[in-house]
Amino acid sequence: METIILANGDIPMSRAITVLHICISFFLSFITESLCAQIKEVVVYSSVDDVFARPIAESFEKETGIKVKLVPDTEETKSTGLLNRLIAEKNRPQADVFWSGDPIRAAILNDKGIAAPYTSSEAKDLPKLFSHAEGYWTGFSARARVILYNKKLIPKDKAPDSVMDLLDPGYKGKACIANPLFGTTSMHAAALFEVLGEQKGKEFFEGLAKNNAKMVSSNGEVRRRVASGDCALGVTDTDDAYQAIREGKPVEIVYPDQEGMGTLIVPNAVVLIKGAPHPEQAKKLIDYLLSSKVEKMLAESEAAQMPVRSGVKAPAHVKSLESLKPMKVNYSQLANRLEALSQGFLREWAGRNRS
Amino acid sequence: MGRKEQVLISPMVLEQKSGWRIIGMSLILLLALLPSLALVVSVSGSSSQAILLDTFWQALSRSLLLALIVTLVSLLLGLPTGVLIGLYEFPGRRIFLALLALPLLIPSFLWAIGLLMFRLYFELGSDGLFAGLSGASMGFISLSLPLVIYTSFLSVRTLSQGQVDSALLCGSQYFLFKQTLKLSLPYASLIAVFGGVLTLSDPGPGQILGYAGIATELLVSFSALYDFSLAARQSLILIGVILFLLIPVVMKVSQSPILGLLGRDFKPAQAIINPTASWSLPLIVSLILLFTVLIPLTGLTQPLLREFPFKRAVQEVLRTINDTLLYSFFAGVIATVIGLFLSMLAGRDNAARRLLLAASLFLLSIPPAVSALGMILLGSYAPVWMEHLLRGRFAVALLLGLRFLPIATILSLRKIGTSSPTWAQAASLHGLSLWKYLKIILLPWFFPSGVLIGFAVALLATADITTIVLLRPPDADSFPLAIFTIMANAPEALVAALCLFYIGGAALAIAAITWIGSNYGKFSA
Repeated sequence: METIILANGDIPMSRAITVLHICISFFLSFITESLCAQIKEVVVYSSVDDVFARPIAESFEKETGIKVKLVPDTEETKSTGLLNRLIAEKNRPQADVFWSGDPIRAAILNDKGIAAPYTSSEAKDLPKLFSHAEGYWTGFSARARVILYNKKLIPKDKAPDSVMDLLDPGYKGKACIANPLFGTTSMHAAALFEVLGEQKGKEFFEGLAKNNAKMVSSNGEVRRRVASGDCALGVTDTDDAYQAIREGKPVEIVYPDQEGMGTLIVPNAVVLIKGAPHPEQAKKLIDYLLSSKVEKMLAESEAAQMPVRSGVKAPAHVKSLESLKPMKVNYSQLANRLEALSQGFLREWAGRNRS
Repeated sequence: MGRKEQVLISPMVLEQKSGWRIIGMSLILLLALLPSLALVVSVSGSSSQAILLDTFWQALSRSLLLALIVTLVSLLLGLPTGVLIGLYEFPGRRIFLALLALPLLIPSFLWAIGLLMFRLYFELGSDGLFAGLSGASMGFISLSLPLVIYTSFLSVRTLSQGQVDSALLCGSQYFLFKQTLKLSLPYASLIAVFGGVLTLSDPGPGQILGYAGIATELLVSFSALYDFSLAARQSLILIGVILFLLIPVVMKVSQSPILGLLGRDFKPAQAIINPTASWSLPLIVSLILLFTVLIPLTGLTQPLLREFPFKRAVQEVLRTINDTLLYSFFAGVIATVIGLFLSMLAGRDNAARRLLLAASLFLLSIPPAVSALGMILLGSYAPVWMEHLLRGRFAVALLLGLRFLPIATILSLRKIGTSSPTWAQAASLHGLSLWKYLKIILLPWFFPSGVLIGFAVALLATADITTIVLLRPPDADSFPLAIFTIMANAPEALVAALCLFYIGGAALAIAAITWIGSNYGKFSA
């Protein structure tokens, strides 16, 4: 091969050609990888945390032989997320199933015409309250919105028992809540407006601002801040709260408003995607997710989720739905309420109260 | 053979002014812009909410302040540090240089969480250095400072021994330092500005450390309102403001005669041995490493003091390593190849170089979510036969490459600027075709720098989350994305172990490049 070695000792072209060969090989690997995609598979977009969703997916694979391709998301730093991806892919979706950590995101998909109706045979003994009436999404195992407080900063006899306690002047600058435009906090906000009414809902949020409550980036951060004592108390989800307890942090969980409006229950929701590339496998996966077996697995997992169907045995530390007074909300309508709030009051409130 | 040679293009075409340069550049840049255009076009005219002007401008001014601080601090600290490291020899110089690359590989949100956890672990209070504006600044400076240091260092490496000796003969080492600062200032400023611009579209550190800005506004539009049209309009205003403020700066910097007069092909000058530098420089670099690496790293990994879930962390590494390498490698290759091509098109034409710098700034200021969602739209509407290009691993690598194309372009522009026009003249006189000239002279000469540029892009691409979270095919997570997706509810020790593995892997990659550099001696600037 003809080469010229420059005075400064530069390398010959052969190396560049070798790199080019490597590039072409990798490029071919991209193509062949796509072409050889397995037929017997199901693609799941999931806003449920990976650590909880993956074991369930693996269990389904073992049981059915259908490969689950999981695309997880998280609310930790508020990515622009999977819901946007589903919206952008609407014309030719890649996903078969959306497994949402809450029913709001599932309802939004339905509103945008991305969900397809499917009533699973496994859903017959699930409470109708947690599902769409026409089967566009179906709810199962649930989390709850709880108050997490730091035992070093708040003695047990003065523990908060209502989300209204966040307005207590004694906790001025000591309470925290995640941004109410995102995740389960947004669902909680919509639920509070539904239960309290428009005026009192606004008063609650204005009260939070007046009491210098900290608006932080996520429920995970609420957990971290309460656990470290940076905040005395905060509102978060049960899975976040249980994680702090598992790690031995000095925190306690309160299921709020058991004497009043009740605790907000946040069921998972599963959606069949309209135009899904693998509809049959998708339906099998939905059946599986809605089974009592998965509810038991999620209860026994570190997520400590509450089974919503009766008769599923859960570990002692997982509260049963029957033992709780749930907040009475219409889950199908919460998405519409949230949409109005997000475009109006909450958007303006969050803009005003950002750090 | 002779007949074929007659129709071949002369290498002198690279040195001559011509309209085709601008046309070629525009076409390539338009292709790079295509995904973002797809989103903007698809949502134009669709009903959408109004921009809350008060909130928007307030958020924008906060972000601009943050970007300004990041730019200035990176420049003021990075430029002299890079110059000093380039000029002087000191113990552990190569190791320090390698360690400085670590923050480049770490996603900004992870570094921010590291700072937050450090603050919480040591109970430093919520109003201190690691919170709010100062905290967010620290998070971003960790990324841009090393870039400025490297740029300044590489500028010093373009000095020949003769130039250094002449400067020393004219004055003292201080005179040499001052002159080298002047030499390095234009490109270091550009890189610092680019570092500042990168902060505008990244919501992570601001959200986590309590300093929300314009990126959070965009996030609300995307993730709370699901209003692409609103987000696109906000992005366009943001890009307009950035260009309005920075194009004059870029134009001014690009007019600097130094850019065109950088040293030609030579052996870099030997580093000077100075007793004061021998102890003070390690101290300065250690301090920089303390703030950019050690503090966030301590925050991230302190849960490992309780337990070390080694096996689970290894499983996660094995699950994601292939795709991580694929994305990074190809992003680096794509950005370097296109960046080189653009630089060759710009050549020594000042107008073309200025246009390219302005276009680079424009591309860099596009929020990554806009181009990623645009790419998804393209994939969704394109014919099925294009599926493999617009969806899947290649699409991820392509968009990552395009995201960091501005960095590759500006570095390539600099390298191509140091080539001698006499090469093309000599090649032309000897009857070499353009292809042969490229094959046996220009590309081999560029190759070592190209590897470094590709490596820099690969590092940045690895740390990018937004593009990968939106575009990755099912079951094709990158390792940083895996950390991102499990960190919400995984045990802290597992997240810490993953972070440690990641940083360890980054350190190994950097060590490998350093080793190659020291053993083959050709991977200098």
